[in-house]
Amino acid sequence: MRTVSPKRVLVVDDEPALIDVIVEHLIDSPYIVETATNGADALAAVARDRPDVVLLDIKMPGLDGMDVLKEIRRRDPSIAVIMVSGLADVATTAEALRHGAFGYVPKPFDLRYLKHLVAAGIAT
Amino acid sequence: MAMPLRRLSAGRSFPTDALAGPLITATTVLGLNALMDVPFVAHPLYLACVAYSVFRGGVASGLASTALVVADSLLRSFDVPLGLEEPFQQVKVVALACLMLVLVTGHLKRRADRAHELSQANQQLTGQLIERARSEEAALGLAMMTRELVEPLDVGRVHHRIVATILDLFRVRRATLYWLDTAAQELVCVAAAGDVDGASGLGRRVPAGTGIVGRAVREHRLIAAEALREDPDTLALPLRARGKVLGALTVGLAEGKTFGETELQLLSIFAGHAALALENSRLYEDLRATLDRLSESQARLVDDARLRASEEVAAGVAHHVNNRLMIILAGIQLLMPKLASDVHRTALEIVERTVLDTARLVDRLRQFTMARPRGAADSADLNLAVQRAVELCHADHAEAETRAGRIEIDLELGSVPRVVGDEALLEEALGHIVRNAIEAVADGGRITITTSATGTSVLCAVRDTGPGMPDDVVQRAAEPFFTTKGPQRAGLGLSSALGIMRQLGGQLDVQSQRDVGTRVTVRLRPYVS
Repeated sequence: MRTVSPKRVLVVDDEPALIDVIVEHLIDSPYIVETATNGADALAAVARDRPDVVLLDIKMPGLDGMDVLKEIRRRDPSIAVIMVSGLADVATTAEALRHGAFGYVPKPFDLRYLKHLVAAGIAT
Repeated sequence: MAMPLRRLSAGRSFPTDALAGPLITATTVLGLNALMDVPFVAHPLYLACVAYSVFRGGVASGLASTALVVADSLLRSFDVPLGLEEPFQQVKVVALACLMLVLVTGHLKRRADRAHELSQANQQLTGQLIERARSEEAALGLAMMTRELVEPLDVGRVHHRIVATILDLFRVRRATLYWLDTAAQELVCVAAAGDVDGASGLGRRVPAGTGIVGRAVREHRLIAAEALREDPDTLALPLRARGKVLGALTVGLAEGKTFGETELQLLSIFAGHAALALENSRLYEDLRATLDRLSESQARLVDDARLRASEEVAAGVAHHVNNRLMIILAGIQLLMPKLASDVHRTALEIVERTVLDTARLVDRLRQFTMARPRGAADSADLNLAVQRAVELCHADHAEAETRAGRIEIDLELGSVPRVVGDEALLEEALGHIVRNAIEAVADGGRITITTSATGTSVLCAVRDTGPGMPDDVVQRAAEPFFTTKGPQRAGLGLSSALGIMRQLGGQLDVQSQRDVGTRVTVRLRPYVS
């Protein structure tokens, strides 16, 4: 009998309080949730855990979300990356999608919508 | 001119004056000898003759007279017969009479010549004085006018002053000023004064090289029109400054009047000054235009820098505020399902709505401060954007109508080309403007939205029949957070629209009149593929 390994979600944001509420919200879901608070940690977590979905903040100190997105896509294009940003604008959204982001969510967002988007990302 | 007169008079007086005394002395000697034989009585007369000779002809003349008197006395002393006896007596009387006649006639002739000379000299002097007085008056006038000419720097005023001064200074019938349009090689009449008819009216254009004025410019010299068939009493002269012909002047003389050498010289001098004054005013105007352009571009640079700084600040604020709002929203959404009480759920829903409103507010503020043009490569259908913007405002429209009377929205959409810009952004901007208009006619009224195209722009005007705004409010209408609609409004509608217009390379203009209404016009660039 084949066992299905649980899906992994990586939440990346430089705001720990926000990570906490997202984790709290996903606690009832059947996913293993990992977190990172900067770009370098996020890439290390990707290499280590190979998540199915990454929730990635764009504006972070050091390596920013857009660079991390490009690197993840280069390493493993099957990972669904959902970009999250407090700076919603058409140009940034277009750039993210052009670099292979699965979705783009402007902050503040409805967590129920996020949950749907994560489920959709896992299903691909 | 007085010098030749003196020379003339000295040259003629020498023989007459030198001989006059001795002649009179000789006449006296002969007369006394002929008429009487009383030498003692004669002595005072002799002395008088000598004195007269010295006075009239100088020392030599006096000595000659003295010699005659001494000779007479000597002859008398030695009793030498002087032929007083007959038959010589008759001859001597005739000789004496002729001598006296010569003397008297000579004297009269001399006086008449002198009077004639004096009269001629007088005439000459009077002429010179009149000429000098005229020149001085003209030169003084010229000096004063020159000073007045260089004072104004406004080109129009300099033009007017040049023709007015000629009229004043030279008492001519008409003065006209032409400017040389070097690109078109035409002379354009820019000012005229005096007896101006239609042919010499402002704006008249004369091809360079034709007519009297054209010839003056081509030949770089004063042209009198006597030889030409046109304008018989006209003079034309070129206006030159720094070796360059700037234009020309024509002067219409009064009937029967001609210009003398002095007047022509003065006119030429005046033309030189006028050309300099013109050149100065043109240079000043060019400088002023350059300065205006510089100030404008400097203001634009400062504006750009200010906008970019505001954009960075707004982006930073948006990032941090949205992050915190996200935490609040996530908390609310976590809590919501766990609350049993409807009252608590309603309270939490209000908080949730407030969080979302705040997020929108931050977004609009950011929208206003965005300095970078966006969507410049895209094109949008303006009429479609208008229709969608009105649809976007449907809820606000319906809500306003339930509160007040009927609000009609008329669309008068013209045939317009596609415009430069992102369609969604354009819809958003128009939505802000339409929403503003709906709020303005909240007590019922009409909103008319028109689209039209000019050669260089595509326009959309949103006109309402609201109460209008005073000037100070119009000035500030597009400032962020400026509102007259009370605390429930953020005052970011028009400022967001303005920010979007800036990003699209368009313009937004607000015009308002109290009790008539307000018109907001957006001006967009036509899209060229």
